[in-house]
Amino acid sequence: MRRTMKGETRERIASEGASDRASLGGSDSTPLRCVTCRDEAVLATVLALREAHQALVEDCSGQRALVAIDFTPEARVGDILLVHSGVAIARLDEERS
Amino acid sequence: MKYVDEFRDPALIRKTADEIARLIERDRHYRIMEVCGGHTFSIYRFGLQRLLPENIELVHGPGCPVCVLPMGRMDDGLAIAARPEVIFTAFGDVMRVPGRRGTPLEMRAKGADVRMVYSPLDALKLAMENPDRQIVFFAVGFETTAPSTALTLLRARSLNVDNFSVFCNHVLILPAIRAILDSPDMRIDGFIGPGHVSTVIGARPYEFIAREYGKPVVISGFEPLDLLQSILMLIKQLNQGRAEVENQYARVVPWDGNRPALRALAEVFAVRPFFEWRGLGFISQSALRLRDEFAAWDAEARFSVPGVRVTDPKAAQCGEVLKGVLPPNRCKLFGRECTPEHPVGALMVSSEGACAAYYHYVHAMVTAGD
Repeated sequence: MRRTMKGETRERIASEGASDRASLGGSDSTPLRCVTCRDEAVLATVLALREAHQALVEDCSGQRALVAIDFTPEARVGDILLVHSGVAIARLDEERS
Repeated sequence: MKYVDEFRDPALIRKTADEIARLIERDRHYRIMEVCGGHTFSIYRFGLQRLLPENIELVHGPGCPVCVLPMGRMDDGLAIAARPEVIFTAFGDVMRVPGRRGTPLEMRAKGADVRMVYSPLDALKLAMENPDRQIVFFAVGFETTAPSTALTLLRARSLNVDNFSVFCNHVLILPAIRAILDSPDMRIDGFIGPGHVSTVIGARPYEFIAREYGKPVVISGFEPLDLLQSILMLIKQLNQGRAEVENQYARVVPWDGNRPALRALAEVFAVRPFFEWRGLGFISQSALRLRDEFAAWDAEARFSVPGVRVTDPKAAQCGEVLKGVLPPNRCKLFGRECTPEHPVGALMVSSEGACAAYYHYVHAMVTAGD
C-alpha cells in the first residue's frame, strides 16, 4: 500500500527520477573505499513507501534510492534504515541505542 | 545525520580514549581482533590505533569477503563470463579481483559482457530486460549480503525468470572465527564482533566464543566512537576476568537478528560441507550453496565450470596476517611485490583487506614522511 506524504517530502519525491542506487552512501566514502562492498551498509531515511515492498530512501548526503524492505516490513516514513546492496537489513531502534 | 554525528563527536572520542588509557593494566598486552573488514577500514581511516595505548594491539581478521575468495572460484566465475550467451554481473570490487586469466574488468576489455551491479536485484532486472541472454550474478559476501541474494532468488522463482542464475560464494563468519580460535598459534584476547553481519544473525550465535573459548566479544558499530566504546568494553571484561558477548551496536543489532532475513536464508540456502578460504584453507560448513529447490537458478548446475584449485604464492603470508600472527607490513611481499595495484595475496585485493587498508593509510603516511 502506498502511503502519502506532505510538503517538502512530496517535492523530493517528484524528483526521484534522479535517484540512483549507485550513489547511495557515495559521498561519505573516501575514494579508496568501494561503496558497493558487500559487507558495508549505509544509513538512509525513508521518504516514502512504495508498492512491491520498496521504499524511497535518502542517505546523509542527500542521495536517494529505491530499496527493498522485505526484511524490514515495519519500516515507516521517517525511519532510518540500514541499507545493504539495495536491501534494507535493519531499522534503527532509538530505544536500544 | 542522526546516529552518525554523535558517534564522531571529538570530545566524546577523546573522553573514551582517555578512559581506556586510565583503565588498562600497564604490564599487560591486549590483543584484540576486529573480525570485520569494515572495522579494519574504519580503524585506519580514523587513525584509531594512534588514540590507543601501545599495549593495545588491534589484529585484523578475516572479514573481507573479497579477500577470502580463492582464486579458483574466480576462475570458475570467469569461465562462465567468457560464454557468449552470458552477461556476467558482480559487485564493484569483484571487478578487479584477479583470476589466473585476469580480472573481470580485463575479461570485459577482451570482449566478455561483464557488468557491475549494486544489488543482485539489478541483475535480476537485467535478466527480465534481456530474455535472450543468460544473466549470471557472481555472489560473494557474508551473512550481511546473503539475504539480498536470497531475496533475489525468491523473486526470480516467483516471477519465473529462467534466464537468471547465481554463482554462489557466500561464506559464514562463525566457522571462520572458530577456525582462528582453533589455530595453534592463536593469541587473541578478545573480539570486536562484526556489526552488519550481526544485524542479520544477531548477537546470540557468538556465545560459543565466550562459553567454549573464554574470550569476550563486543559487537560494534563502525563510527570512531563505536569502536572505542567497544574496545573499552573489552578492556573492562578482560580486566575483570569476564568473557561475555556484549552488544555495543544495539541501535542496529537485535540480539536475535533479523528474523525475515534469516527465514529467507534458510529457505534458499544450504550449508556446504566444506569451502576453501583464501589464506585460511578449507573450513568445514563455512559457506552456502543454493538448495536443490533452487537448482534451476544455480549457475554451478547450469554451466560446467573447471572447478580447479589454485594455490596462493607460497611467499605471501596471508594466513599469518589473517590469524593475527603477523602485522601486514611484516609480510615478505608487502609493499614491494604485493601492492593494491598488483595484489599477490588475498588481503591486498579489496580496500577492506587488512593489507590494502594498512597500505593506503599507514604505509602511505610513512612513505610520505620519508
